[in-house]
Amino acid sequence: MTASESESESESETRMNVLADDEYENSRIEDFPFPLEKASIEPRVDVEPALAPRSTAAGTWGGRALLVNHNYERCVRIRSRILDRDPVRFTSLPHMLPAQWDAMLFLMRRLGSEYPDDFALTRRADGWLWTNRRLGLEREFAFGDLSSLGMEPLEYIGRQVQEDLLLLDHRSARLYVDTVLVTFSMGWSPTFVVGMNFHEVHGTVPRVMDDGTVDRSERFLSTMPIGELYRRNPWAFQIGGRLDRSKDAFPEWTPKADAYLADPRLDTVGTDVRMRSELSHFVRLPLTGAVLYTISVQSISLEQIASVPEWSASSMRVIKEVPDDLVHHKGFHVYGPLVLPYLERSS
Amino acid sequence: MTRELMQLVVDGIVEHSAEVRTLALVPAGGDLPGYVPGSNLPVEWRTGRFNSYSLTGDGFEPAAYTISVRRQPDGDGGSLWMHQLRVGQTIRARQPVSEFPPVWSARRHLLLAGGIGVTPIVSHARSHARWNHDFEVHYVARDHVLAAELAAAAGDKLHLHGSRSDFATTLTDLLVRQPVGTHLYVCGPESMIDAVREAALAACWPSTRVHSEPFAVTLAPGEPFTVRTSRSGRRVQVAPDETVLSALDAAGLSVRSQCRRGFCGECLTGVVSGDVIHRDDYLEAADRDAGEQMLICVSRARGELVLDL
Repeated sequence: MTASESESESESETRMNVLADDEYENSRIEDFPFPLEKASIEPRVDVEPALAPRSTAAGTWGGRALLVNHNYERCVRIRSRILDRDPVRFTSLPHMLPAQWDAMLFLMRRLGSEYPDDFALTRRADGWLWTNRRLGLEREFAFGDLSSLGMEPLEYIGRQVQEDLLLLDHRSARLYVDTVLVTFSMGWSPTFVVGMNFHEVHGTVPRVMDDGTVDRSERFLSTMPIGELYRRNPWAFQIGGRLDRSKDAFPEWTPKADAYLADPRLDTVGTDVRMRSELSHFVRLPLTGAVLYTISVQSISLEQIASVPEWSASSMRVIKEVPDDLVHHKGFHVYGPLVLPYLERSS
Repeated sequence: MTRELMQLVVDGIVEHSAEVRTLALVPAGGDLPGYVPGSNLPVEWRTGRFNSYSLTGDGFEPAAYTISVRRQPDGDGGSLWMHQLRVGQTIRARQPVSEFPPVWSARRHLLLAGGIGVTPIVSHARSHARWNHDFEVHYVARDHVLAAELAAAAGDKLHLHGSRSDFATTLTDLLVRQPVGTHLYVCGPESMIDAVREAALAACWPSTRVHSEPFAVTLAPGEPFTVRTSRSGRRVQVAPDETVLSALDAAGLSVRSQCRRGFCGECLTGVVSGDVIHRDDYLEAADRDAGEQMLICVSRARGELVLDL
């Protein structure tokens, strides 16, 4: 363990709500994609066309596909550090190189059109110029020429977005997770799923295999009209704001979470426990037809939830009404006893 | 869901023969979207009627969409319409549709073209050349109209055959000498596709490595029909290119919906009467047979449909 790590750990042990350097700084409720407006937790094909703004009890979200907020520099820094330390978090099978270029161009174009003050992709006579003003980067590159990027295309753009990125290849009537650039996964291992098909990846999720949800989701993804963006918004509770909750990093974060749960601080539970949204977008890329799946992680504290009576009420309802077979999958057996009393007390 | 049509201007025409011409189509404004190799372009040749033509480029940053059209005097009129177009005319098309993509993980690509079926094969060959993939092309035709385009992409990997019987003698040998991991793509007359499939099966090729049929599901237009809403008493026409949901939307009748592609079940609507053509991916077979419910975002009907709305 390095000196800086032991420092940040001892600091966060004494005061959990001081932000550690691997944590996300909470979103504002005004643009948080609160996932429970419909208050249903039944697993199903929970997708909708993207880019349509959605209003919530506290504001709106959803006008853009990519997230660039006050956490941008922080997320990019945390991801780069994880990739430097554990390079396999970016793994791509060799045949996915065209899809990587496809994805990189798609993401650069979207960043440029959604945040024109910060990003620009400009066509040059013999290639492209990529400008990232948030990070002070300028890069000329030629499509298909790896040496002009210095690394593979998905890693190049992955180090400049807040989102985790996956690429799915469609062959033999199945989708395969053939590329991952995932540093912020919640309870699963990106390195374990590379090369798996869609069914294998979802083998551990209760219900969805038997009731056909996985089948339908796979058909949905593999038949989306090229270029049309869709989205879904999975969510969970978590302790603290750590982004990387992967199985790969279990030893780094589970002991602290377990210790907290064994002895919760009831006076600070409102800031210690967060709701985590994993707003995901997916699109079939124009040049290869591969599916790009992006996951942007955001969180708000229980305190923020409690400040919006409608959110507080629907959170409590969902926890109370969750079917038995999903209690463990959602972690409600652990978080319910913390979240419910707090929200009841605050409402 | 009705997507906006693109306005394209005919920018160049090459007459290869009395039967086949190539059209270059450029955008009336803005950039053309890229496309997956083997994609087709649905062109509107009469209001609401579309014919799909294979795009022959590799799909990357196209300055123009190029299609080659064979005159079909006994067809429904679309190809004759394409053959009377002049440079400078504006036409309308949908976004390219990918129904015959390359398998990116293939170790090698064996491309077989018959007649005007060569068009998507040209697109594949150009893409494989761009990505330095291992591939080989066989082009069977009396008149090799796109031989120059193919040769530019494939070089000495292109083999021309003057007749099907000529090609038949080399086909088996060709199939048995491909390395494991090769994918085969055939586009041409149905009888040629059948013959290639049969020969591949006889040569012990797994059927999943032989590609000829479209496999992507697209929301094809259908016949027009009328919807009546039993509770609000409205009558709404559904055009070939519309869905019930979009037609009701346009008429100011809003219905809850989510994915709008027949998967999520949000727009499930009660059917009072009507002959429903189910096209969703949600209802069980028994529910479909009962005919009491439908997903109005994708499913259609024959004649008059009465919905419980």
